[in-house]
Amino acid sequence: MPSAYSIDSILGKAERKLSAIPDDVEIMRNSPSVIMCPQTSGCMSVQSPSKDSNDRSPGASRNGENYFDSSPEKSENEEKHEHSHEDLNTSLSDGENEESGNAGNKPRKLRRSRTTFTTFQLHQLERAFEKTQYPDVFTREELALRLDLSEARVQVWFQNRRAKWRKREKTLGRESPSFMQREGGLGLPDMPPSHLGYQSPLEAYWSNRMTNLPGLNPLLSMPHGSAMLGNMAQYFNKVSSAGLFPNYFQSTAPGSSFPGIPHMYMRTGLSDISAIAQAQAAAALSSQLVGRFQVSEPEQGLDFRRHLTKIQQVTLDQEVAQRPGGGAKTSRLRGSCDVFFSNEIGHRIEASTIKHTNMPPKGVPAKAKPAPVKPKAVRPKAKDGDDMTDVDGADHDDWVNTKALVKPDDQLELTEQELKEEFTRILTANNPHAPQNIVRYSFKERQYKQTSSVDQLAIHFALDGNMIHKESDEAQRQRTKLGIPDAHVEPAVSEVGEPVSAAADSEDRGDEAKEEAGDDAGTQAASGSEGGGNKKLTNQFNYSERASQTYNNPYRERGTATEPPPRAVFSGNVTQWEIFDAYQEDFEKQEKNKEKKVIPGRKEEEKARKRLTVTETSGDDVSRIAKAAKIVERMVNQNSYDDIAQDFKYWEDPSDEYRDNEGTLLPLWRFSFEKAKKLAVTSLCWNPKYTDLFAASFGSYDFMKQGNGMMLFYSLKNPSFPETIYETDSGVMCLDVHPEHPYMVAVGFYDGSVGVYNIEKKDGHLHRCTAKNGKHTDPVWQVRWQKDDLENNHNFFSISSDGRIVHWTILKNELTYQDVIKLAMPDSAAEGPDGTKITTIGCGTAFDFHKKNDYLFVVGTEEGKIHTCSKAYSSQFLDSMDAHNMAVYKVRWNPYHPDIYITCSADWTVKIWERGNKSASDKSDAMDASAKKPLFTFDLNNSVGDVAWAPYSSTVFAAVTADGKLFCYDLSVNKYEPLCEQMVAQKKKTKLTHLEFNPEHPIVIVGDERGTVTSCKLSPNLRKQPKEKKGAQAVDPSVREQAEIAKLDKILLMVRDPTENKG
Amino acid sequence: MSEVEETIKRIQSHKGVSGIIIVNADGIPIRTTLDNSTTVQYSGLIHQLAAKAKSTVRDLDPQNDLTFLRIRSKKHEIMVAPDKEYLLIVIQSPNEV
Repeated sequence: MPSAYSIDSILGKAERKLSAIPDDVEIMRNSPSVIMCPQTSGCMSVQSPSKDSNDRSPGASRNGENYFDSSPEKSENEEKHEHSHEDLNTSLSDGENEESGNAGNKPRKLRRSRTTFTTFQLHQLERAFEKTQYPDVFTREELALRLDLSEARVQVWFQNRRAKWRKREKTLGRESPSFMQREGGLGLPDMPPSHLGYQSPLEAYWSNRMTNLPGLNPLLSMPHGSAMLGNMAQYFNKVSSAGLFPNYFQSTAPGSSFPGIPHMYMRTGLSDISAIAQAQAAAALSSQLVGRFQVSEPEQGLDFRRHLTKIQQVTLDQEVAQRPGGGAKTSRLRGSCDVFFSNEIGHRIEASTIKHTNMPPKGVPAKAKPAPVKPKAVRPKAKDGDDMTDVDGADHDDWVNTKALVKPDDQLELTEQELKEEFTRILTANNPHAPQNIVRYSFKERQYKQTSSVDQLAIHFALDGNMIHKESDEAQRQRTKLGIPDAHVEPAVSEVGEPVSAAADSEDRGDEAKEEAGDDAGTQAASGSEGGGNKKLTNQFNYSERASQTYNNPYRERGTATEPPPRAVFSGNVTQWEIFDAYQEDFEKQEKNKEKKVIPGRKEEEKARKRLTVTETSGDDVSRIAKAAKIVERMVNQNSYDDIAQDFKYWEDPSDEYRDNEGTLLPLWRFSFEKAKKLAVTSLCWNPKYTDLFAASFGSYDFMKQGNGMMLFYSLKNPSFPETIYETDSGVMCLDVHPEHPYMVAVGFYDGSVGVYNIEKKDGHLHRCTAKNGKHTDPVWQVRWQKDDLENNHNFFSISSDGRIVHWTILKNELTYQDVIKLAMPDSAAEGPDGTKITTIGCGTAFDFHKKNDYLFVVGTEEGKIHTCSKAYSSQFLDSMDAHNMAVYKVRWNPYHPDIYITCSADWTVKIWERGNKSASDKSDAMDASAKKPLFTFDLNNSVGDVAWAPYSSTVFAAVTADGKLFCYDLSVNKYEPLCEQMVAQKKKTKLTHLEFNPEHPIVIVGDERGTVTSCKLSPNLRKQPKEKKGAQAVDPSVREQAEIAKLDKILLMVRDPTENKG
Repeated sequence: MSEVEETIKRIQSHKGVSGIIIVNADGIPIRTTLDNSTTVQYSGLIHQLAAKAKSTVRDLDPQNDLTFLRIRSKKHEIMVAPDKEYLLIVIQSPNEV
């Protein structure tokens, strides 16, 4: 019994109620429906097998006694009862233990003797086995009836036979399918005689089915009392084991199995589960569309009814209404169960013949036929005899294939009209078949009371899946039909052994069956888990592998070619100078950084300056090549005047060798400037540093033609164009380049002013005196730089015809002056018209400073006087004499001899004078000072504009005259005649105004009144050096100077002697 | 007119001067008195020569620098005055006239 309770324990507490509250059971017993049952006529009588089949199933009988009869073993019964109570909530194994324990307690007298099968029986069984290895319960019942065996024996026989078969199969190498083994434990009705035998298959089976087949749940959950549920479950178990459920699940009739039961109205009023079973069977039938069913209930099948102790027999009143056209079949179980089937498919549905057979005791003849409940409903199935198994097998297949319409004989013949007749049925919320008169015994009131609440639940539609269990007979049949080999072996082997052994030892069947069943359940569960572990158990149905191979996308290359980065080849040689430049640059940068750190404030200024310079330079691109242009110009000139340059450098007049006392001048470049052509050259001055550079001032000696002046700086390298040009508003009468600072140029203007220019700055003069600060009132005839004074200020002297000799000093930015001397005429005071004496002032025209005595200088005046003055005495002259008759144009000291100076005058003469000796002698003589005589006097037949000593000799001097001639004298060669008298000016009328010896080169430049400067090369005779100097030895300047002085002295001595002699 | 312009003009006015080309540091002529092809030829070649000459001078003494380069040929003389950024090329035929 624990088996029944086990399944019920799954369902809930219903079973507990059943067993715990006996009055419920009592009520059900006494319910009207139950009571009605015996009254029904014509129903088959079901005998309780408990009494009759003691020998066949001792366990069953024992249990039956325990539960349904007042057995003598009351204590045992109670004990059992208690056990069952406990078992409600205990696990299966507990129940098994319980059972085994009970079995152990049982006396061995109940042991069944081994059944001996007759040949006929064996033959029949073998035949049946050939038909099917898994006969359902009906088949088995049929067989049992025919062979006069109990159904349990048949079941066991099949069990063992299958085991044997499997064994053979295995030795043959064929593997038995997986479902076979399971069937052996589960689906097959190989239950032992005792209902205990199938407790565990039930458990396992239903635990599976409950979850897997929801279609069954409505049935099982029908709330018709707890006891009923329990019974139902048990009954189902039996039904299923009888092969009903495999049918139920099968889907051989495509699309029609469950749709075949679209509407099922089932009402179970009472505990007569057999009715439900009938309904189920009918449902299965209808689904299968094969209406040949016999439900034979063995006595074990009615075990559940042993609850109802007083009901030994259940009569089922079954009405089967067939409607071939509408396809609706109603089977009504009177008083207990109504089943409505509506079959939409117009197949014939044959009402199942439910056979309630009383399992006959041993005495019952084997040939006894089952008593039909309703003769007309009973099909002549008995004829099939051995072929009962065909129900599941060939028979079914035949039907499917042939589609032959088989009509039962007793089918109602309905006219067309009747067929078309409509039956109207009204559906209400209330279940019309629900019992209204259920009463229960109330212990409280000690009487029966009608229960107020009646359950109205009805299941209208239940749809189950069309899958079949792979272990089921149907599945197997399908498989074999399709030729799919069974792929399921392993667990079968483990299970096979037991039934075989059980078959061998059939005497121990009673107890062993229990154990076996228990073991079966155990192994079933175990095998399930093992199977899951060993191989992949997807599910138990005809699972089809749905994994599909997806399309593999082909690999594709997606490379993109990028544009290669531009490449360039750099090559270069690093030279030494490039490295040097880099370092230099870096050094300069560092220097700059240092400066910046010191004076951060200047940054902006520098920036501004930079910007300025940048704009300036960027403004004129070409200006950047000024230097290059200058160089190129000179080069071009050099090429242009290449012959002149060659002459300048190399030409020596070869004729000089043949004429001892004559020399020539070779004209070289002629410097002429367009703007200066109308001006006279007023002074010339070589640059002391750059000996190829000279300055020329331009003005006008014509009082009437005064205008602007000009100052040009020429280079011998570029005779075509002056290097620097200064234009002035007044005629420039004189200039002097500072001997130590060649960029400083002092200038005297015709308007009496003096100025200082810086050649490096082209924008104009640095200083210029005005009337306020001591400018001369007459033209400045000569300016001369002096050595810097004690305070290192630049200073110069100027002489003008206003009689003043002014000392100019540059103090910072200011030009200060100081009158050194006034050229007064002490002895010749002119008398004015009114008799007043006017002190006449001498008009200074030229002066020259002594080379060695800084303070000493001589002054020439317009009056022809020569004053020897000293800077220290501003009021008087050291000496004064009338040297010329006309204005003295130039006075120059001899570059070597300290006492000799030369003068030239407009009176056509050039005179050489000696200072000191003469005066000394004159003093002593107390003679007329003015009576002094020059050492030499040369008459040049024209006004002598300028005279100059040659820098290379103490005895050579040259003079230019107004008729354009240049006279060159060498006293050492000829004391009377010039060595060279040559026309230099291009035109005869052109006056030569000035000349100057180049301090280095043997050339002389001559300026004329037409603004032209001519350079001439002195022929070798004109620049004769002392012969001893021609030696290879280096000449000491001082020695040379002494030699020059001696040379001149020698000549002078010659000159002096005659004068002295004369004197 | 700037002083340099005048200078260039003067140079051009000199006898025998047949052309003046000013070439920048990259050897590209920026001013010329010659025709295009001659200018390009001169500037390209002289630029290289001047660079080499400068390199030579400076290699000998890094503190020294090239100031002037004259190439005397039978027909004429090419005078090259390299400046910081420019190269002044003057072609003169001294023997002419």
